[in-house]
Amino acid sequence: MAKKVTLKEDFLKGIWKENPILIALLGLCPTLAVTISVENGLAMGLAASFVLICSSTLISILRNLIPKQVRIASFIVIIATFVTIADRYLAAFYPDISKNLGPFIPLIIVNCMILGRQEAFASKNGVGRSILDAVGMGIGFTLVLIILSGIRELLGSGTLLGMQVMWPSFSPWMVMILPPGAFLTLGLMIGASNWINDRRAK
Amino acid sequence: MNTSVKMILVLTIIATLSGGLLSFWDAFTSPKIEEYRQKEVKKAVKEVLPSAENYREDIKTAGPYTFYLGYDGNELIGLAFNVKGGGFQDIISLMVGVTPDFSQITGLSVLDQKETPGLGTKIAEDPSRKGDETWFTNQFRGKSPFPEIYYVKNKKAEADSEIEAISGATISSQAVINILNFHIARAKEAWSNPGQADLMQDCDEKTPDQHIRISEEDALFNVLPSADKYVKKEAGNFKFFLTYNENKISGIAYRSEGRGYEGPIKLLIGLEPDFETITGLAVLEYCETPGFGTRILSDPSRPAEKNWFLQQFPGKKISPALTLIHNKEPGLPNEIEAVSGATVTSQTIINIINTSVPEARTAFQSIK
Repeated sequence: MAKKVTLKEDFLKGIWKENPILIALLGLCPTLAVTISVENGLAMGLAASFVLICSSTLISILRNLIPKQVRIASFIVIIATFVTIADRYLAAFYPDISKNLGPFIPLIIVNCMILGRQEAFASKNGVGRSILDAVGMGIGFTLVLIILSGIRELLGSGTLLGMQVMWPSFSPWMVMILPPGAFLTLGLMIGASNWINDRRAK
Repeated sequence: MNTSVKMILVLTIIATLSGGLLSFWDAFTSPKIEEYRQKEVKKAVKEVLPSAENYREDIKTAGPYTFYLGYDGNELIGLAFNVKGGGFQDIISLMVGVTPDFSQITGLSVLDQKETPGLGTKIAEDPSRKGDETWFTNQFRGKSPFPEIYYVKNKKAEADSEIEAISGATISSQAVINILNFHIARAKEAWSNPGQADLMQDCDEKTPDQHIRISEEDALFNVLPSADKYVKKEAGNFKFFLTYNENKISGIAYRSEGRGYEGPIKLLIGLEPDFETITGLAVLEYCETPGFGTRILSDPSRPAEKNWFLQQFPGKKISPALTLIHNKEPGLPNEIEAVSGATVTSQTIINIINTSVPEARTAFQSIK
């Protein structure tokens, strides 16, 4: 019984308690840069999750074979392989999204969230738990990106997923799709999550 | 097992598997990516050559430019080519269409840009003008790229080479105009003179301080004694700049070019109206070998007078022909001292003058 709870926790902690963006503040570079539209945020979240899940799976399988002196080098090669697969896939089948995301897909290679999960979890735990951990973290990362990009697109362009949702006379807040908008929105989101956690603790 | 051996073995295996997987994936995705790129280019070519009935897949390369040819029946009615240049944040890549004589732009399309979202991106798509999102690029249609395109602010563009800038994105608007002004003139040169075009490409790959370019207007003051007011006239292959003194022509300058040691050398030659005496010489463009050919403009061995080579020319007589002499002071009025270490470049300049002056004189008779 006790073990079952742990598995559930492995999965759920990435979504809220140890959310990679809101709590651990990892992988902020793509978070801030690409979230000007929901489409971008979603694509980024899914690409990073794909890389995370594949890398965690493979690395937890190989964890006893990789000597600890070369573990980081091995992790990076494995992560880079999956990133390249994701990057080429997007370029071939979703060229518009790939064009929008520019260099940020290749930059997933150095995303601390992914390397962090390998070092902290996948290289020390079994395959099943590592997959659960990666899926949870991926969902947590993607959800935050969707919310962040949703707020920015709604206020900055008046649209959601490219469809007009604000009233016609609404004048978009330019600042929201510029870098300051990303910092402001993310700051408020982190503040809100801290506030909720504080209230819960009491 | 020894740790070192194990480390090497594990990394090698991982890297090999990774390489194998990626090469397989690359073979799978590359054709799709290339197909998409071709489609984008084709779409842009169609867009910028709207009147080409049957755009034929004819491609002609000249120097740095690749021209896509648009035909109406068998008649060539337009050329499209890709140009790139610096924008506000990153490279802007454009597809531009022109009439075969380069006198009119037939269309403009933005292939790639990374300008500021919401501001500079309006050069490609302006969501604030519903139904006319590409108004900025559309207004280039029918405009004349010569002498040069310029922008106006906050009013409709009317004149032949006038473009309305995007408010809030003046720098991006200016960047597009600069790219076009620079490249259309050069593409025209490359198109009409493919031999020079190859040299142009070689020059493009060289460092900026090796590849010098100045405008004719800037050089004019150096080659004609009184060039406050000048009139441009074209005759034959020559473009003349004329200065007047009490309604009489007081000076003539024209542009001519030849092959230097590494690339084209373009000169602006100033003459007395009798085509006998040189009043001045300026180098408009060259990309000679640094430290050698570049001495014609700046000779470090004579620090007091680095541009002595060009300074020799004012007052020299062209008939019968300029002669290059080595390592001694020129005595006769048609002698020019060569720059040691830059003999080929010096000789090229002499040759350009000797061959072009008689041609220019003949062409000039037709204006008179």
